[in-house]
Order: sequence, then C-alpha cells, then structure tokens
Amino acid sequence: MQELVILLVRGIGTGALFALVAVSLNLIYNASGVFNFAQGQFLILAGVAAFFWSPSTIADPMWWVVLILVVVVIAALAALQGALTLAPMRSSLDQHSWIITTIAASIILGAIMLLTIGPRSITVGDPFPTFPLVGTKAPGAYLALIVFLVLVLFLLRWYQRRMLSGLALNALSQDVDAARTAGVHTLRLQMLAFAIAGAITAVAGYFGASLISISESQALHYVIFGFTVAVVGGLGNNVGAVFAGLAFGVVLMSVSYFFGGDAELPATLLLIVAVLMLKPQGIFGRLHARRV
Amino acid sequence: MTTITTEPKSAPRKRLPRLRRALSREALFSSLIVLLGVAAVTLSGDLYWRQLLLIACLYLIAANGLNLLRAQAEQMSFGQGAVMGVAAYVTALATSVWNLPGAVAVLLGLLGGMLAGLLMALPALRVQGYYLGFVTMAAALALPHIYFLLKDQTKAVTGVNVPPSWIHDAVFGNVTWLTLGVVLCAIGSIYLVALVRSSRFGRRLKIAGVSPEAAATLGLRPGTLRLEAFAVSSLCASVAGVLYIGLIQYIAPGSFTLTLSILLFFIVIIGGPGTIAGPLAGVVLLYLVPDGLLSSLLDYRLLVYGLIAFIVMFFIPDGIVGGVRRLIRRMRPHVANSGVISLEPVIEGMPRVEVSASERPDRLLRVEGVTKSFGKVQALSGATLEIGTGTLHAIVGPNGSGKTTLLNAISGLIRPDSGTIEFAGRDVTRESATNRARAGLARTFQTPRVIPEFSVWENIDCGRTPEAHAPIADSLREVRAQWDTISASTLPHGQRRFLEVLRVLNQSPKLLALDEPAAGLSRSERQEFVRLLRIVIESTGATVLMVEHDLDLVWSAADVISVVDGGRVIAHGTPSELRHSPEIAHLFTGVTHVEG
Amino acid sequence: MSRLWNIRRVVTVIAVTGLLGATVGCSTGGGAATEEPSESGPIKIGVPIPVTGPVAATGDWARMGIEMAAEEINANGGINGREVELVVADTEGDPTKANTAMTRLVQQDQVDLVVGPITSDESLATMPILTQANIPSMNGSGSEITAENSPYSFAMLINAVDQAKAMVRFSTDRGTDDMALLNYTATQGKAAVRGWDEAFADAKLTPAGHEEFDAPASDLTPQLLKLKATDADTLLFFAQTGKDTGTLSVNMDQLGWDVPVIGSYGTTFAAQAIAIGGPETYQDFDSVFWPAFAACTVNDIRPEVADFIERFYSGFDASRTENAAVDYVAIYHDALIILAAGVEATGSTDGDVVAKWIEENGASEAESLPVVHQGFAMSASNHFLMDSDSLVLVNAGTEVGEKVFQRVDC
Repeated sequence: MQELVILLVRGIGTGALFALVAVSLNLIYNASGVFNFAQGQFLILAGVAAFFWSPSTIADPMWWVVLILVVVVIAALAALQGALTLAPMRSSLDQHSWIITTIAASIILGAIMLLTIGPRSITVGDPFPTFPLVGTKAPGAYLALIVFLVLVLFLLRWYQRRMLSGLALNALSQDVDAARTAGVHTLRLQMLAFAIAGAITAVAGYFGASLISISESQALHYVIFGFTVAVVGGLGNNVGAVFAGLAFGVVLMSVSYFFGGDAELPATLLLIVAVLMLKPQGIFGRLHARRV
Repeated sequence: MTTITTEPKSAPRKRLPRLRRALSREALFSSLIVLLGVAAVTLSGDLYWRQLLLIACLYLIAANGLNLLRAQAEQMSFGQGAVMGVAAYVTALATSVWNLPGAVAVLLGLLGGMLAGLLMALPALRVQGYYLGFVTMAAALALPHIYFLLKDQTKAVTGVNVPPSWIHDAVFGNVTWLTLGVVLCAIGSIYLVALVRSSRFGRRLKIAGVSPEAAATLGLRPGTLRLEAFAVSSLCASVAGVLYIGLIQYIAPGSFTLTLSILLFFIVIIGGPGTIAGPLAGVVLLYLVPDGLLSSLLDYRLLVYGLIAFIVMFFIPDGIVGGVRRLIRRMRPHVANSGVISLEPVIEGMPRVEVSASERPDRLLRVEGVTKSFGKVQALSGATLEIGTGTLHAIVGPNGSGKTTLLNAISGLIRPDSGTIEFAGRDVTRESATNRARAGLARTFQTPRVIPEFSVWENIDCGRTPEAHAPIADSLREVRAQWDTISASTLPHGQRRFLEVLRVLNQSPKLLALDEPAAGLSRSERQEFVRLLRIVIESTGATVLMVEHDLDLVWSAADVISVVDGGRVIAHGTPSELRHSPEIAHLFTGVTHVEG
Repeated sequence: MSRLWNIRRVVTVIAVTGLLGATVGCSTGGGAATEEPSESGPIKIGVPIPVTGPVAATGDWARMGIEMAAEEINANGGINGREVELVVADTEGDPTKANTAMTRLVQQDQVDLVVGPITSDESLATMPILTQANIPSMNGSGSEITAENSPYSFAMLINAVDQAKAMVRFSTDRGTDDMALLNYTATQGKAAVRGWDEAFADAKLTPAGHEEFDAPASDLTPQLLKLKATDADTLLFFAQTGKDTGTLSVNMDQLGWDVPVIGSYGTTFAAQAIAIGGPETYQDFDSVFWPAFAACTVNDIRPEVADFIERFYSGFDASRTENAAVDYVAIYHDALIILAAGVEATGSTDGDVVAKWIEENGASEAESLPVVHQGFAMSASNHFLMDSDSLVLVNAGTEVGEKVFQRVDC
C-alpha cells in the first residue's frame, strides 16, 4: 500500500512536467494550429540557465531573480521563434511547413547551445526542500511542479475569460479566419501565445532541472512526450492534457514497478496507442461535427 | 524491381498506365542524376563517396515511399525509419544468426518490414492527422527498446554482424552487384512514384486522403486504400532496409532511431512533397551536403543542417522542387488553356437513347421516418420521401431545416437513429456509403471536392474504373486530351461543380444526389447545367435528386419538389401543385415572384 | 506582405552570416583529396568520435586525451621520425554515421591508425572496415570485443562483463552475499547482466532481486521499492552516467534504504553525481575503478598520474575540463601511446603486424612507455587493454589528490 502511494505521488510529480509541456504546446496549437517542436529546447535552456546561474536553494533570493530573468528571456525567444515559424505559413501554399521549421528551430537552438557551452553533461541538484511522503521523503521539485501546474491551469482559465487579449486568444482557437476578419491582430496574438507557452516551459525546466537530463539531444524527447500527452488528452484541451500528463507519469512509474524498467517505454506507448484506438480524438477530445 | 505490380486489383487489364509526360520527364531526369552520380564516384574509385552515395540512395528509396504516403495518400507517418529498421534487422538475423540462404533472408526481411508497416498502418483505419503521426512516432520511439526487451532473439547486446558475400563482388570494373542493386532499386522507386502518381490508383489514394467522404460516395473504400498506401510505402522502406544490411553489414538497436524517421520526413517535405524529383533534392540537401560535403565542419554540421532545413521552408514552403516549378512557370508565360471547361461538348456527345418507361421501376428511393439527432439538436425528425425513377427531384427548405442531413442519411455518410432507407428495391439502411455508391447512389458536395494539384481530367477519373460503355464515356473521351492539360486549380468555383458532377456521372449512377449544385454558377452556366441534367436523365434513365436554394431554378427545372422544414418533409408535389400551397408560402417569400 | 518580407530579409542576413561563419570557422581539414598511402610524411590517425549527439560530452573527453598523446609524440620527434596528425570525424553516436565516418577516414583521409569510436555499437559497426583495410586501432568499447571479431583492434574500457564479475567478488569478499542488482538497459548494462549471471553461477549464489532502468533515469523509485522489499544487504549498481548515480543516491535516501552500494566504473563520474545527490552521494557507496587513479594517501599517487592531471588542466580550456573524468581522458591518451609504440617497434602500420606486437609485447612494454594507467593485460586471447584483476574499489566521493579517488582497501 505504502509503495502504491509513493508510486502515485511520484508519478503525478513526473507527469506534471509532461503536463506542463503539453499545456504549453496546446496554447500555441489553439492560437495557430502549430505544434512547437522547439518547445523542448526551451525546457533544456532553462535547465542550462539553472546550472550556470541559479543558487542551490530557493532560500537564496538570487534564485528567484534568475527565475524571472530566465522566464523573460525564454518568453522573448519563443515569441521570436513563433514569428519566424508563422511567417511562411501566411502564404497560402502549404500549411505544414511548421513541422519542419519548428524541428529545424529545435536543431538550430541545440546546435548553438552545443557551440557555446560545449558538449558537456550538466546536472543540477533539487533547490526545493524534500517533503514527507508516507514514511519516506519525496523531492520538492515534484511538489513545485504540481503546484505550478495547478496555478497555470487556473491562471490560463482566468486569463482567457477575463482579459481582453485572453478572450481574443480564445477567439483565435475557435476560428482564425473569423478572428482575423473581425480585426484581431492575429500575428501579434499568436506571438503572445508562443511567449506565454515559452514562459510556462521555462518555469517547468527551471523547477524541474534536477529531474530532466539537461542535454540538447534530449530536447526532442521531452517535446515528444509532451506531444504524446497532448494527443492522448485531446488536442488543444488543457484539462485533457493535465489528466493525461498525470496519468502518463503514474503509468510510467507503475510499469517500471510491476513489469520492470526495460518495459517502461514500450508498454506505456502501447497503452497509449490502445487508448487512441478506443478514443481516436483523445480522452477529452471533441469529435468535431463533420462539415459535409 | 517488382514493386510496380501494385496496380489496382479492379483494373480490367493488367496494363501499366502511361506516365504523364511531365512526370516521365522528371523521373527520367532524376534517374539520370542517380545513375550519373553513382557512376561518377564508382569510376573515380573513391570508396567513401560511393558508400555515402549508396546510403543516400537507400534514403531516397525510403523517402520515395514516404512521399507516396504523405503527398499522395495524405497520411502522416514518422515511422518509416522504424519499418526500414525492422526489415534490416530481420535480414541480418536471418543471414547471420539463423544461417538462412541470402534469398530467403531478403524475402524474410521484406516480409518483416511490410508486417511492421502494416501494423503501424492499422491505427490509420481509426485515427488520422496528428493522432496518426503520433502513433507512428511512438512505434519508432519504442522500437529500440523492444529490441532490447527481446535481446535473446535479437542479439541486441552485441548487435549483428553480417559477413560479406558475393554481392560485394564486382560485376564489371569496380561496380559490385550491391551497387547495381541499390541503383536499380533507387531508379525503380522513382518510377514507382511516377507510376502511382499517373495511375487511377494514385488518384484514388489522393481523393481518399483529401476527402474520405467523397471517396466513399464514389464507391471507394478509404480504409483499404490507406492500407494499400502504407503497404506500398512500407515495401519501399523494407527494400531500403534490406539493402542497408548489404551496405553496412552490421545492425544494433541504436542503428535505427527516431532521428532517421525524422530525416526521411524532412527529405520529403523539404524536397517538395508530391513531386518526383523532390526526395532526390531533399536527400542531396539534407544528407549529402551536411554529411558529405560539409562533414569536416564537425561541430557546425548540426547548425548547417538545421539552417538549411529552416531556410528552405521559410522561403519555399512547398519545397525545393515545388519552388523550382513555380519559378519555371513564372519565367515561361503560361500557354496552357485558361481554366474554363464547357459542358457543351459533353452534352453534344451524349447519346440520346430514350429509355422506355416500362424498363424502369417507378420508385427508385424511399425514405421512411428517418430521424437523426446530433447531441441535443434534432436534425431529422421522421423524414419521409419517395423519389420516382427518371425524375428530377428537388428538395427545398429554409436554412437549418435538415436538407443536407437528409442527403447525408440517403448517401450513407451518417447513420440514422431510426427509420429505413430503401434504394432500388433494397433496404440499404445498414449499408455503408461505399456499398450504396456501388449500388448506384452518387452524390456531390456543397463545397466541391476538387483536387487542385490534378488536371480537370484526373479529377473526373479518380473513382472506380468506369464502365467502358457508359453513356458518358464516349463524350468524355472526346474532351480527355484537352481537359488533361487544364489544371483544376485554375477553374472558377462554379466550374468545379460541373467537374464534380461529371466525376460522379463517370460512375454511371442510378441516382445522382446533388447538394446545392447551382450555387456560384452564372446564369448561362445554370442553363447549361440544367440541360446536362435533363440529357443525363433522358439518355441513362438516371434519377436526379438535388438540394437547392435557387428557387427560380427549382421551379423551372424540377419535376417534383419536396419541402423540408424542421427535419421533416412538409409538402410534396409538382411545381404547379405547390405553387399555391398556402402552408409553404410563408417559408419562401421569394416564391410568389416566380413567373410561370 | 511587406512586413513578411522584412522578417524574411532579416532571417536571410542572419542565416547567410551564420553559414559563412560556419564555413570560415572550420575550414580546416576539408576537401582532402584521395592520396596514396605514403611511407613518409605524417602518420595520420583517424579519430572517429561523437562530436554531436547524446554522447558528445564523453567524445570530447576522449578527444582531449588523444590530442595530448599526439602532442607528446610529436614533441618527442614523432613515430620513427614521422609526425602524427589527427583527423577527427563525427560519428554522432550512431552506428550508421559511424560507418560512413570510418569509411571516410579510411578511404578518403587514408589514415594509418585509428583511435575510436567510443561505444560498442559504433565499434562493432565499423570493425569490418578496419579489418578489411588492415588498420590497427584502439576502440572505446566496454563489451563484446574479441580477438576473433576485432583482430587488429583493442578495447580500452574495462569489459562490462569483467566489471560485473568484480562487483560480485568485492561484495562476497566483504561477506555480503545477498545482493540486489540494478542496471541500465543499453548495451553495456545488458552485458553486465551476463557477467552477473556467470559470477552468481560460479559462486553458487542467487541475487536477492534484479531490476533495470532506461537511462537517463529521472526517478528510480519504482525499481528501488522492489529491491528494498527484498532482504538484500548490498546493492550492485551498473550505470553509465553521473546523473543516474546522483539520482540513485537521492532516491535511496528519500526511501530510507541505506544498504551499501557497489557501483560500476560509470558511477565514478563524481562531479555530475554530487551536483544532484549532494555531498552525501558517496556515503557507503564504492565503485569499481582503475588502479592508476586510486590511492590510499597522497604519497601513493604515481608521479606520471599527477603530472598527467596537471598537464590536462593547464592544457585545455576550463569549459572543456570541467567535470571531465581525467582517468577516461588518460585511457585514450594511453591507447594512442601504445599504438604508436607498436608502430615504432615494428616499423609498420599494418594491422596484423602491429596487433601481433601489442598482443605479445604490449602488456610488458607498457611499463616502460609514458602511459598513465597500470595493469595492462592484452594478449592474443584478450583484446581488452585492462585486466579485471587489476581493478580496485574506490570511494569516488573522496579525493586523495585532485581526480584521484580514495582506495577502499587501505
């Protein structure tokens, strides 16, 4: 019993990281129909920043200063990358160029990281104090990620219902063309979505730096897991992403526990494919009425 | 290569379709480049560049398969690298571990790869788009782990070394059997793409990918077509995988990672999806340039690779070859026909054979008490309708009255909650749209399902193989050559409707269900259109059912009119019977102005 | 549209500048034309290592070691008067890319000797090329290298199978027979499992429990919960990265499981492990290690080791040496020194000749060569440079001198 509680809580903690990546992917997807495969690189970038500049504990005020700087810089970078990604899509030729440009952006960011800091392996300790868990301890980073996830969910909801730009973003997710004809500055809003998503990812990477492997070659790995979670939850659905993300984390842990660590990834992915076969639009996905 | 036998089963004769001229030129050009490239490095004796070029050929073969899957069948796959890996792995195991003869090993490798590809394709029957992209990606991601799970069978820990064999012996000069095989397969895969692209099979793949509903109402089975597309592309990937073992002579779980699947996807999209030379351009730019020409850049290679991909997509979102084509078109003032087609020659060419009334049953379609609700919205609430053979029957009604839903229920795109639909004396309520279409029920859509990359002719001939003596066949044959030169993308909106109608007429339907066919047509086009419908009815005995907003047209052309409101048929009769019917007058304020 | 074009123009300028910079920045070594192998001029040494990709960091350590050795050789007048010249090729840590990289080194650059690649997959994938070209080489494989599959090549790392056996031996020597096993799931980890199986069979023991994990691991709790439930009195941990070691330590502490741990060579990458696990990481945690970089007191450190460490830190930029495992750098250094000695002694760069010399004389001659490591034991039947008998147990958390770990058996 104690084991199961430990697996559940730690699974949720692991899942929170993927859920955050998925929520940030959804945010951009809703605003522009694009999955930003470069998002994983922002996660890594935040980890790199934590390695170089952040003190080893959150008790140090500098830790928070660095956090703010990291969030601002990465949000700006994400907005810029968003503008570059969306620019070619404004021509009517092909609407799938983003798959390439976002992956390419990820490769370029990774290559620049490789050139500037070298190919070294970077590890960062957990700056948060541990918390007690049924007679054991658990990393504070898990708790921090879970709290941040809940916060993101509520803030996003509030923002998209109460703030003007949030409402406009919401409108974009319904119908980009209609929003454009209604005089909404689509590009500016889409860049905003990229920036917010970048900020969320940056915080996730900064909080979870001790959990992720901070290497540019792992960036795509994280974004694919985030993508997985978004797909299973139902594209564009944040509640679905959170649910699927947490479930994903718990399943990973449980498979390792019950079936062994070497089955972890194949078994989990198999389960997800099975879920998709039963629910082709994801667990919380809406079946769009077919326009015939 | 034996891959070119993938002609559709339904083709009456096992004859390969003629390659379209532009495609044939592009295929020849690409093949020559492959041939000259490999010949040059072989002659120079530079074994490094030969190895590099042969690997590039493998990627080209796999990418050509992916090109068909992506651009022709419109399916997302990030798993082609995994298929290639399975084929390679099975070949290596069969040769080195199970000690089977080479030919058996190759065969097993191809089978293994195809099986993996089809396993990955099965989800395509259920999920589409990004979801399918994810499923295939998951397979590519999990595969190395699966090799390790089965480490006793796969020798995952040591990897499998394959000893050199006769394929590495020279045929002549320093050309080995392997070099010859790789080049032939590469050229074969180029021609395979050109062939599929030129064939009706390819056109079916396209329409099934772009609009599964349209494909189903043409009597095609989109799911089967998707599987066939996956089969063809998996075959390409498997061939590449088998050849890989000949070239590298070693395989381990780390040999085929997601990176390869992504590279293949990049090659297709950046080269120019849907073009013949695209994958070749992609391989050169994304593999040969960074890994060959710029390999001494070391640390900067990744940056160069990323920048190439980014810049190409940024400036030419339709890929290198797509961009080159546009450039050529811009430089050479277009002399081809402007995008107008006339129905006149088709109408003229149709035989006027009056089908005697006694030969036809008087009732073709009967809809009885059909209901359908979408969530809380009751779209149909007991619609009942009868359509006589050889009539032009119109359905009118205000917006949201359930006209299109009724049409969808008739053609089988939605399944009614209750009620029965009888077609040609048979209860088809439980039948799929495909089966109804095969029984002779055709339809068109509010937004015409026209494929802009195709010529007008290709758009017409993308359904099942038309009957050779269909009434419209002769007249279409007349215009074929000319219409094959007109790109459908240049057609004005109204003309796309003509095109869609001709496409379904080409299937010799018994019932032609048209969803707002006159929308967007000019006055003269409408007259032309009504004449066509009349002639179709006269010469083939077909029945026309149309949902139409244009009441002028309906009142002047239709034999019988049904008025739909609130999901039910509320009135029914000839135009003259209905003209003074008070219960419908309030629905159509315009009706009172109708002359005649 | 105009705004769009402005963005595009800016991108073009950046891109073109980047591309030009990249081309100019690395114009070295490009466009090497095919030349005939010559008996004069420099001896070319192919260095196929991952410059990019997931194992690039380790690749850079290897590169530094090889560079140091080449510099030494040239400073001492080269090999039989011929200078050595390094030609680096990127394998990306991928067997297919390693194959083309090796083909390039052999066919285009016409290298005489090869040091690399650094993983077993890549080594095995490229071995046929080297054998066919009759080129002597040293590879960084940690498993599966034999005199049969690699006639002219020797593996530098400690064989994973031998390490695993040594771990069991160290544990039984201490009297702890109830061992729980935990290993990562890629090539070396799986090879270690084979070593464990053999060692347990020989000792007529059965492990208390056995779990595996995919590296890099972010949380080993599921595996540890399983193992904790057994009555194990020792944990044998086979890992490849410092991150996994740190994670193990953190998770064991959090679960309150405090049995002693015996780790593989990969658990000695202490800087990364301590960054995650904190200073307590190596409490009750010992690792299998090379004897040369282990000592009881600072006085035990051999001068050649101390000298090498000093030269390493003064010779390279701090960003490259930070966190590097100097013992790993040293083994690549030694590999080239031994290869060079073979060429010098035989006057040949042929694989069969040099390999035969190394098999027969390498182990004994190594004592008089300027190598850093000890305990060389290659022979006609053993193509691993190191012998598992020479392995020692160290505490990687305690340094006797910089980068020299505390021996446990003092």
